[in-house]
Amino acid sequence: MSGGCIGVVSCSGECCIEGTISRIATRFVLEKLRPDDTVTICLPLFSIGEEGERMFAKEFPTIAVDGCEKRCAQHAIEKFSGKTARSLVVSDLLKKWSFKNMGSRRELTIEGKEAASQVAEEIVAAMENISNEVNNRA
Amino acid sequence: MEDLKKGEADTVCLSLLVKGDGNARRQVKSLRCIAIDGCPNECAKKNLELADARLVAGFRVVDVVRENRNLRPREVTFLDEDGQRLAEIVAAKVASKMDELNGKRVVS
Repeated sequence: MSGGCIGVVSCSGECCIEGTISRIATRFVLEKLRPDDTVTICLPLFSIGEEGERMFAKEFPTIAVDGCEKRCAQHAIEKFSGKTARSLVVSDLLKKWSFKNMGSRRELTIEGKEAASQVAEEIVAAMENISNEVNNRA
Repeated sequence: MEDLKKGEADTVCLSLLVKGDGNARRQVKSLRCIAIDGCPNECAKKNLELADARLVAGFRVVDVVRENRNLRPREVTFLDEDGQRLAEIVAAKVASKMDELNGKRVVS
């Protein structure tokens, strides 16, 4: 594991609002919640990238953040790079919560941004869980 | 595209192509595709090529940014005013390309 950093990779998610939420939640983690110990990579780089890109999930414990049940991020990471440490699916998380008017895949409403914040908190919880596992093994 | 070409264009999740989804691959092989890439890595274009798509045109946002140096987007997560304006310029270019591909007279 490189410097304790954890990889967070979201789907590109053009087809549904859950994809938009997955991207924005990942940005929240990178910019606000865990800027110092989070790394990411564009998902499409796995298939066109070189050895460096493909080493990503081997170098960093990686969390896949998918918008829908197709789990494209998780499948692509595991196909090209390595096993994911955790996998979150935004559509599953939203079923547990009561957000209703989240906007569109192009633009989130205030409620949609709140949903993204809550997904970001779930990502951080998964990161802490992974860090604890790594520390316990050390 | 929802504003400019509603009902005339559709999009495919790039992640589905990266994953190797059969339906997504069939879709890009049967329909004419325009790749819109953010950066010089051209992931969308290259993934379409890997999927044997009917790639008919491509745009790179980085080129549009260079052509419009007066616009300086500063936000990544949510587009600011300049970012929104650049998105509209890219959309207009794509719509114009669609008209050209469909044999419509394009006024530049």
